[in-house]
Amino acid sequence: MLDYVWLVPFLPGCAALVIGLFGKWLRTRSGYVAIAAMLGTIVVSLGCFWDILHGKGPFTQHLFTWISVGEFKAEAALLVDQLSVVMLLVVSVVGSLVFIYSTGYMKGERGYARYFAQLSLFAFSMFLLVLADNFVLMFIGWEGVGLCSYLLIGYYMDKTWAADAGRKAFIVNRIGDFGFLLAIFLIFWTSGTLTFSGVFDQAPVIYKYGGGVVTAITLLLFMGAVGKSAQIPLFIWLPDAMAGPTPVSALIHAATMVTAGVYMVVRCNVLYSLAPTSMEIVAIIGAATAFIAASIGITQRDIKRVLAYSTISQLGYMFLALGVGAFAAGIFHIFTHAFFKGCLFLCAGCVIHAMAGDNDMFHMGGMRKQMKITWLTYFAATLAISGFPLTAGFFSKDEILWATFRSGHLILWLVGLVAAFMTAFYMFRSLFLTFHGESRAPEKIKAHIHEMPRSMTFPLVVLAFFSLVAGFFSIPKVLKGSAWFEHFLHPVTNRGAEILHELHVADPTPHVPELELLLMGASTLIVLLGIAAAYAVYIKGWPEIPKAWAQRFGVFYKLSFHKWWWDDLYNSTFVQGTIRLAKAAWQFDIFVIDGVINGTAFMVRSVASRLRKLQTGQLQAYGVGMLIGINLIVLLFLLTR
Amino acid sequence: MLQAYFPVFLLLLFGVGFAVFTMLLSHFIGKKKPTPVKLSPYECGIKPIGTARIQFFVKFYLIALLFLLFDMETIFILIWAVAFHDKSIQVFALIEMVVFITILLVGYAYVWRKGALKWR
Amino acid sequence: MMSQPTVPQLFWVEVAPFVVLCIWALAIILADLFLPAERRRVALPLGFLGVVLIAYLSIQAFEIPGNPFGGMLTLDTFAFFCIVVILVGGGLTILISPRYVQREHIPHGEYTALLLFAMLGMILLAVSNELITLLLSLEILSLSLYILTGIERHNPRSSEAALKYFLLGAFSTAFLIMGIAFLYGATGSTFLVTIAERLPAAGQQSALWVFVGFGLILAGFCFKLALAPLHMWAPDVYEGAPTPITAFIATGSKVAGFAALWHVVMSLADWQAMTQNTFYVLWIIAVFSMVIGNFAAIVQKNIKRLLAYSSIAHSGYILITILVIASVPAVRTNATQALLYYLMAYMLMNLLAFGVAIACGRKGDSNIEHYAGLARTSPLLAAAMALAMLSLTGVPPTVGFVGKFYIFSAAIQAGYLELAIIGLLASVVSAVYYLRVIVVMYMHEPSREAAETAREPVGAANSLALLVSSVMIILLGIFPFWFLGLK
Repeated sequence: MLDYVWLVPFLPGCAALVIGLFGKWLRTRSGYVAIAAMLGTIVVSLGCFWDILHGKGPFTQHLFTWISVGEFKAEAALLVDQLSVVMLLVVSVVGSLVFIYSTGYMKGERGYARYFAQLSLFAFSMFLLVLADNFVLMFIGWEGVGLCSYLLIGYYMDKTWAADAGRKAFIVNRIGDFGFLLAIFLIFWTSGTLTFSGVFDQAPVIYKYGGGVVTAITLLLFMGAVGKSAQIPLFIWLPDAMAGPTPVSALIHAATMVTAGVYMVVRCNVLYSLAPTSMEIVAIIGAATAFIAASIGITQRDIKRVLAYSTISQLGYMFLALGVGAFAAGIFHIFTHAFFKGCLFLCAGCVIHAMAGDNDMFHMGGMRKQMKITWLTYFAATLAISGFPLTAGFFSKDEILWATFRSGHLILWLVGLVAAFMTAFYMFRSLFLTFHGESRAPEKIKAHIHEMPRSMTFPLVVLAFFSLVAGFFSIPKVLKGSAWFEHFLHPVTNRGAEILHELHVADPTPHVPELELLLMGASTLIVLLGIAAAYAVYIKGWPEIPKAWAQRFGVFYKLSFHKWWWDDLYNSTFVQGTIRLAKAAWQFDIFVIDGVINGTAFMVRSVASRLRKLQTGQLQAYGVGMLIGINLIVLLFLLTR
Repeated sequence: MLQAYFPVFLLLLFGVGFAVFTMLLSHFIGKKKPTPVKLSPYECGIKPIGTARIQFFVKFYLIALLFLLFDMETIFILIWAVAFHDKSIQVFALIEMVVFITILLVGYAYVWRKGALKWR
Repeated sequence: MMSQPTVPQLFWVEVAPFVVLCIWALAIILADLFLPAERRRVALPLGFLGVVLIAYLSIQAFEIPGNPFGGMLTLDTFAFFCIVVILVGGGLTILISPRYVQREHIPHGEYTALLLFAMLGMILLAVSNELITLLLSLEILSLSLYILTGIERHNPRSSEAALKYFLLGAFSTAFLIMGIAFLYGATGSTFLVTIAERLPAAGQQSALWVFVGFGLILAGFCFKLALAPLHMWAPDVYEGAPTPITAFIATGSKVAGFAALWHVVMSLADWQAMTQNTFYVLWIIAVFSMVIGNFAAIVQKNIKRLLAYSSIAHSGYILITILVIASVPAVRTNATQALLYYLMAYMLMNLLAFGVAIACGRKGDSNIEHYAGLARTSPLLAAAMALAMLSLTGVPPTVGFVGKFYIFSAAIQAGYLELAIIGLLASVVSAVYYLRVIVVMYMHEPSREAAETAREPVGAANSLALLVSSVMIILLGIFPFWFLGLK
């Protein structure tokens, strides 16, 4: 099956092309074309998984030579190993479910075919990113994902905010991409190759442990990851990205796009292992993001915004895992997070659909009566994301916290723990506000609330099921499990550790099972506490306590509600700054050059004033400008010789 | 060294002399019946004194430009004629000149068909 | 001293493309004169036919590399690629022209003939191996373009642009000639090969003149290529000229200019007096162009002005390759490949953008705001424009990305890491204004007037041009070796 891996990007790519070209004719059938392609990728991915599982592995498929300059070659080649096959499964399964859901959600929307074409293109780019066997191809997928997200976020193009959100996503991502590209250049400059195997095999030889070059490379790579995976300080685009249709948010948040940054860092774990400073920074940024995003999530009123901040927060956890060297744990969290976050977003889509487009949780309430399936699945996913014992999120999050603790980052562990509390709190807050209590919706909408069609509830059930059980793939050894997932990824994720071992850099502290159990208990307790608090405030205390708290903790409330004023800070500094700089460059043309010329002219006015009248001022200004320019060029040329 | 330029000097002398001679000649033997028009510096009708912003008939420019263009081209023929006496390139040079003049003719045809030569 | 004049050997096959192109253009003028008014439209198709014919003849001519025309031309691989690019560009320009020419009442015959003459100048510039030939071909090119810029005689902007272009162009040519004179004075030859041979023997005094001469020639080229600080003419001229001509000035004349600059630089680069420092001025010009072009483009409201500033920036990117070629011989092959590829890429994406601008422009209006909601009213045009913008930004897998990748990797190999970083930053900035066009097209409501009035049909020729350039932008982006493997 490995030989057919090219089909994985090829199928959705073809679907995008076919729908793009014949969308007018296909109309609603375009959804089926896209879904068929995605189902095809599941089959191929499963086949590849089967082969890899049976020890046929790492497999590289050369398609053609893409760029070849001198000794430098960029091959279009696909790499299948344990890591990429896991990602393939996640993307294809969650992707397919989102596609199926979309047929119901987008029914009757304008541009139905366009939507599916872009969605397929999105999947194509993500597959390319995951399967790339070198940095260049990965970058192409990387850019493609950014581009498609830009198109999809701006899907409701007649709305200014949607357009702005799309643009924000793209530009913020470009900033990250800039770092990524620089990193690629640096890697090429130092190692002379860009294939993963080539770079990673040489890495221990050419890069000194903790050296400046490898630190710079990893930090620049991380800059790309920060942009794509919405970490501090570039996370501002993701909450706005929910301006797109809800299934798109589900796809972006759950399976594709944001996980790309995590995937890339894991892929480069060899380099990161050689750069302890970078690891430290990754861990700190991850923990800080997990905390800040969770704190923002507590006060948001928009259900999709809450979910968006929870995504950022969970991504923070993943980076925390990577930063402390638990690469497999990071991927495992991607894996579980894909299911419950996908489920949550799709549920939110159902809720919003039922509310006739209203996102505000304070207008909802009591919806469990009319929407049983949605409520139950949302409940399951909320349990999972909060880390309720034995759900998927419990295993993956706990592994991260344990790894953090074990590597000696006590403060980061504490931050993670507090964030876990907040996560449980705000997720259950959203659950209670939306589905429990009395309905606060206007009468007209209340009558409209109903369960969604089968095409939309089916993906919910599947995802909810996985949210509950996906954790069993990797039950930690202390709980008499096999930690199968970690074991499976071992060949890829442990390469960094192996290199460190060869370099005789200190090993992590030895394993103490009792301690691990203790910590597990602690985080369970914290989660239960969070749930209880949410219950006390939003079920028992509603509506007095939330109001009273908002007033009593005014400063914190505002800080959280206004997202720590992060957007405003950017707007007043970078955005305005760039605009001003642009104007300055333009003014340079019309004022500075003119000014210099006028200044010169002023001195020689007695001579020149008559000549000046013969020509239009502008043309003469250009002429004098040119003269100055030419003199400068010749002079510089002589001076530097 | 300078001797080589003696013919040029002669030519210069002759040219200046001829001009001076004819002007003197006409001064001495011509009849003088001055009228205001005749005494104006440009007999073609442009007033030398007054505002410079007067309207010329645009055809003046066109004709002048065309004249300049074709006049310039004849200068090339002069140089060509000097080199022509060399036997080894005569045939080639002749063909070259035919090509050159053909291109000029195309230009001429263009000017003609576009009506630039008509005084309207 | 004077050598005996001899009959130069003519190499008919080798000079055929140039001779035939000249005859073809003359024939079009004549045909236009003697055809009845309603049949003069045949000029543009005839012109296109001519381009195809020249393409065929060029392939024949370049079968064996040689130096025809008394050694004044050199038919090498580099020139071959340049001619391919120029002919593709010229052909596409003719294809995007008919509607515009019709709409603005531009005389067909003169328009086509002058386009062909401009192309003649370009392909001669790409092969000229001698400074006088270089100058003459540059003048053939420039004079044709001056006239073409002002060919919309009823439009005062067009005339203004032509006047500015002409006067400033003549001004810059004067410097170019001055530079050529200095080089001739220092070395006693106008043949680039001979100059390169005699340079090592040049004394202190002549070396100075060579430097002055080269500086002046460089300044002359900077004007033609719209490189900062000699770029000021470009926005005005681009805005005023008829749109297809703007496209042609922006693309063709740049390709030819860079080709000629390459020849000049190559003849001087191996002279030991030229150290890496010598070309520092190229570094400065490149950075200036990238920065000024990209930043000034952000505030532009007119699509033609926007593309003008963007073309200044792109000239800056391309100049990096010239710098690398001049200063680091080891990377010369790679940088030359990068140069050729980027020229092709640049040509394609600009012609696509201008092609769309022509297809959806109404009389005398190229404000970006008029593209609002284009995705709704004509999705294919909007898609093409979006593709052009993305390629100009450098988003993979378009030619724009591969081209930038080539250039920056050549810069890095040559040790100009800082230049690559500045270039990258500049292209991040450029995303802002290229993206704005897409935003306007896809995310703004079309104005009521635009939604109600039906756009005039794009026309078969223009559609073909847009299709060809779109497909090539993507295909050459995915398979760049198709282009570089041509020869």
